Amino acid sequence: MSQFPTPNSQPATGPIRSEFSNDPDMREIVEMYVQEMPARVSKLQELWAAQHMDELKRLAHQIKGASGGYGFAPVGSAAGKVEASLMALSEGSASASLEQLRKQFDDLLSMCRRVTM
Amino acid sequence: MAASDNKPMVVLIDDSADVHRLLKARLRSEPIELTAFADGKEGVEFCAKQSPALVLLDLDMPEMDGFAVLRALRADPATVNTTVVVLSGLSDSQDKVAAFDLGATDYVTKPFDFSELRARVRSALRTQRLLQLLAERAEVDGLTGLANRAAFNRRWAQETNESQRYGRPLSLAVMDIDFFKKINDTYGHPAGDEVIQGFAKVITAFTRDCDIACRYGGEEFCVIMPETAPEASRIVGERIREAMQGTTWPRHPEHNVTVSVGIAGINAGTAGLTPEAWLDRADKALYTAKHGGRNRVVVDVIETPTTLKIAG
Repeated sequence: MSQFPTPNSQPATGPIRSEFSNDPDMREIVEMYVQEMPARVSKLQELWAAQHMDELKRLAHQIKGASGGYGFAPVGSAAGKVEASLMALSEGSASASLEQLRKQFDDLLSMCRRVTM
Repeated sequence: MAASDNKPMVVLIDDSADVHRLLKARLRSEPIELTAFADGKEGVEFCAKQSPALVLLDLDMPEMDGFAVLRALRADPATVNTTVVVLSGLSDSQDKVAAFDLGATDYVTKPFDFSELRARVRSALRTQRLLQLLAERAEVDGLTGLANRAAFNRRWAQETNESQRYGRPLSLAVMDIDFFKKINDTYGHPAGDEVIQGFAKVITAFTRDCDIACRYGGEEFCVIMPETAPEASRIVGERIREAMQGTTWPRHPEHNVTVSVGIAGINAGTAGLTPEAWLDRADKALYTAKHGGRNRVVVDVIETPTTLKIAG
């Protein structure tokens, strides 16, 4: 169970726009964040493939913390779910399933690929 | 307090480059100077040197975490009172309690609500400014505006330490108004207060900005004279003594007021004296001045192996 509310109106496809795309203070750094997303996606995939779960958890944690700040709350929420599942798995929780994690991870990748200004 | 253009300095310690960028953008309109560190250790070192007005501190960091940073800040006298607002994604109340117990003044959870964050930064800076004002007031004597005894004790410990470390000259003058009780008894306490205030003005007029003049208590004053050899400080003491003797007091023009001065100073080298023992030497010189007939300056030159060598 994530501590972040899941937006119920998030479409499964289509671009995810920043809430701050029209904020002059934010425009420049939101652009930077969007431009860096492909590198983040590659890093996520790389860590997943190599099963570096601690590093993956850390990266998910960072995405969770930062995305909302750039106006991409749904991405932050998806990253929060991945982090929580990774944490549950590493603690050997009975309710944690690899299957669920896989799906959450795919959701996160999908969302990361769809961010735009 | 370190700051350029009188903008308070705010230090951000957070391992995430994203948070640095976000906070810089979101706090751009605030009248602050923001410096960011990704590493706790570097942040702590910077704070010890720069004494920022406020630290925004991430709790969850890989190398030195926020709790360790808080402990390090509290362990160093230079940063023990630094205002810290903790930032973290951790919403566990245990962490909040731990951070508050380690001296954090406020707490903001990630993801940030930036208008809330800005309000909390403003509020923390406001409180910090009042605390600083209070600390300054606590070191000022109300009657004369000079440093008080607490400030003297702090500065004297610093100056003796500096002098002994680098072998530099340093003098301490202890001054006392002669027959002060008689002024109070004859002309009343307002007259006594006026003499004390007048003496403080004379001391201020005849000392340099780098000297530290304090009201030690009652009618007793001290002047710390850094980089000043005993014989040079004697000249300062004599000028103050003469100026006091030549002052006419509106409440009692017929009654002159004199002062006695005791000085203990070192030319160079290491005295090996504690601050208390050095003050005691100056007090003894004052005692000698009093018993020698008052209205005079007595200087005690503290000898050291180094000064003896120079003399020989």
